[in-house]
Amino acid sequence: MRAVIEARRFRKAEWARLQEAKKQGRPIVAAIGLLPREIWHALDVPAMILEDLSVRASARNLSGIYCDIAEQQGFARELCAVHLSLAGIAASEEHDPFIHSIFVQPDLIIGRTFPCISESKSFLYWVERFGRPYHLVDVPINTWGSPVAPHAVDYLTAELDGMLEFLEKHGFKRDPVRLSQSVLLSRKAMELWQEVEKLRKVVPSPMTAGEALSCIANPMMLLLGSEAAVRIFLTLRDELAERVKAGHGVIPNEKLRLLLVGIPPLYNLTLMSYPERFGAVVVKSDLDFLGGSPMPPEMLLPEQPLHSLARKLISDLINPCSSSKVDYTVGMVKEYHIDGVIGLNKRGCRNFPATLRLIKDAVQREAGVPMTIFDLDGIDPREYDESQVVSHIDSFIETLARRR
Amino acid sequence: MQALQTLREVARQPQRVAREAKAGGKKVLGYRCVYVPEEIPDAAGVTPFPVFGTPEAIALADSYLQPNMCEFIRNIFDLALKGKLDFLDGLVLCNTCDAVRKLFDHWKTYVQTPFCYLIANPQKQSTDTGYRYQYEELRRFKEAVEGFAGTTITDESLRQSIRTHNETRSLLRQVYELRKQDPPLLSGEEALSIVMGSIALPKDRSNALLRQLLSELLGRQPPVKPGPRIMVTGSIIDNPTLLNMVEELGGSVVIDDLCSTTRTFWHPVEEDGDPLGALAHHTIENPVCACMHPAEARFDYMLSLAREYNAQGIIYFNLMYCDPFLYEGTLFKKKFEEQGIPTTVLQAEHTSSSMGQLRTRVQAFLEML
Repeated sequence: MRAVIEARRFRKAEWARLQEAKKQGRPIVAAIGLLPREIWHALDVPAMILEDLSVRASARNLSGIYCDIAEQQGFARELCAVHLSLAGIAASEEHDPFIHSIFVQPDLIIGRTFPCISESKSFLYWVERFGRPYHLVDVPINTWGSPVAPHAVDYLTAELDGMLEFLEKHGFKRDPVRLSQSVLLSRKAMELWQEVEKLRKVVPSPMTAGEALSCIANPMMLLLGSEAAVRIFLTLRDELAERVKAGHGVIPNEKLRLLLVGIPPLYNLTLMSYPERFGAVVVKSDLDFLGGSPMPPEMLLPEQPLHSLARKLISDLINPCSSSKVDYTVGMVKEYHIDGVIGLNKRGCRNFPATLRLIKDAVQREAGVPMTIFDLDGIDPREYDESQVVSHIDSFIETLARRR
Repeated sequence: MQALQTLREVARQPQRVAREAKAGGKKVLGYRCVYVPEEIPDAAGVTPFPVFGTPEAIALADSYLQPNMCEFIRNIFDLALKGKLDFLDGLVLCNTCDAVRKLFDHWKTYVQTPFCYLIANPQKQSTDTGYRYQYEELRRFKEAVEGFAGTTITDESLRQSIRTHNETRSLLRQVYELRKQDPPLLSGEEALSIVMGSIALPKDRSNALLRQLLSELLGRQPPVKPGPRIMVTGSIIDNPTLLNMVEELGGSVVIDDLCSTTRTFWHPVEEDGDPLGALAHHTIENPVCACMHPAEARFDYMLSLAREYNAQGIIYFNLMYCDPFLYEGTLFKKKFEEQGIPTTVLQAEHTSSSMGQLRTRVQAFLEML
């Protein structure tokens, strides 16, 4: 897809920008994941998004090596492989050539408490390892669903303001005009995302969840608040509209539509298209909304940038309280005409897998759609057994086929 | 040692206390963890009950919460699914770790007591905005408890509740003073039983028993032989197997930093001024939980405990899949050793049989000291 190629190009450029910034002597910020990217773009912060570093290591089949290194440093194997591999990368004196080509030593570190303990604690190892100043953003959990409680939004707004103060103290310039522009760009991207999702609901599916990892999840994680995200989503929308108009689906004879909940094996993404040989398409994955939010885009107000970003972050579906995610998943099952849900239990993650049973019961009860759950660590390949995974998928698809 | 025996019996079967309260016509609210202000339900005439696990095998919970989730929390959920916590009218949790937050989701969906509440406390301490946020969280919680209890909690009733709970805290601090002696005047098991019993009982009963205990302990001979002075920290410990093991192998457990002991009582709540504000301050100013930030404040707090009790070594106990302490133990081991306090990090499951596997490592650590 054109959008996939474009998204990959922008992602590569984003990482190259870090190398360039380091050469210019500008401070590099290592940031734990999904703090509002709009802020990085508004302040022109060279931000190394640590989860993306882990994802890229996994995609090159390097996570196992770095997890081993972390374990040699005393970290338990039972911890989340995203964070274990990051600890391994931080601990390494010498890197694999690929990691060497993208990794830059941070000058500042920014962590956050959300959405899980690994996220909240693992960055402290980076702080210790590199001895750099750090700042922590506390993100309230959302126990209220929608609307989000005002006192939580106020608290997070103050927390984001504190992060800006930290950045200012270390040489970055707060620019209210650019921050507003960035929020506006984010809003445009989210509006386009909504149009994209509308097109993705069409049968036959015009794109796969695997493609969405590149051209939706990655821009969501790295580029919201930039022109690049808007361009990618614009390209994607137009491309999907063409496909839908032409009645062009991912495969010629789509029989079953699947929803994936959890991280697919990033070191073996061909698995995402494996069901296609049975006429089944993974049309949607919950990773699409990594950093997205069910909050209506019009609530992103350029005149209240931090407040809007705070509200969006608390509404995020990766929030550790499960009810919004369960409801949203049931909605996806209905709207995307899903026949079956595959849930992946990632060893080491205490957050998302502990929602799987709730989702399973809810989609069965409210949509009459079955869900299968099995163990698969999408980051760490050390215990990956393809024959077992394929056997699970085969058997689930057989069950679904019999139901039709 | 009548008081010690009573507290020990309560600690062995804390659920009896809650069942008695229930039989007496009171509503019972279970709670976890240390940032739930039990003063609020207490002030509403509702019995707060700290839910502990039991050594029994998990049966039903495994099909809801994956086996790589904290065994202590799965154990509690399992007990609820089996109907063994049927005396609870509700459960109150707070924003600490992933497992506790997931217990909230699952309890709400599958146990469905009349009351289920998660206090979304901040995880960053000592900020003004954090105080305001926590104040509002507690105001909402108080309102919910009032609705549940069908009563109004006045400032005076809340102040009185704080005073009563503070007395328990103060008496427990006095008991812990006796551990400073060498050898300590209490064994690790006794200290654990005293605190667990005290926090399970209604506070007026705890206070009477603790006063009696203090007088009974005067003039007592130390129950353990002199040996390396050990601080035990990490995940929750609700049975004495590890503590007994340390002392059987020649160590003296002189201080602990656990969710079942000091974390519950070390810091008093302000008694003057706005009582809700005092409770909000209590949460955001005391770095007793590994989930809280900044980590430096928590380390300083633990170090001060170790120094105050002259600990010569630290045993950092991690329950399997207890992420807050899995991270903290790894990060803090080096820091404690830089301060001249040898530290070992142990990992085990919640069951006593699993603890037995730690014996060799504990022995090696004590020999090294």
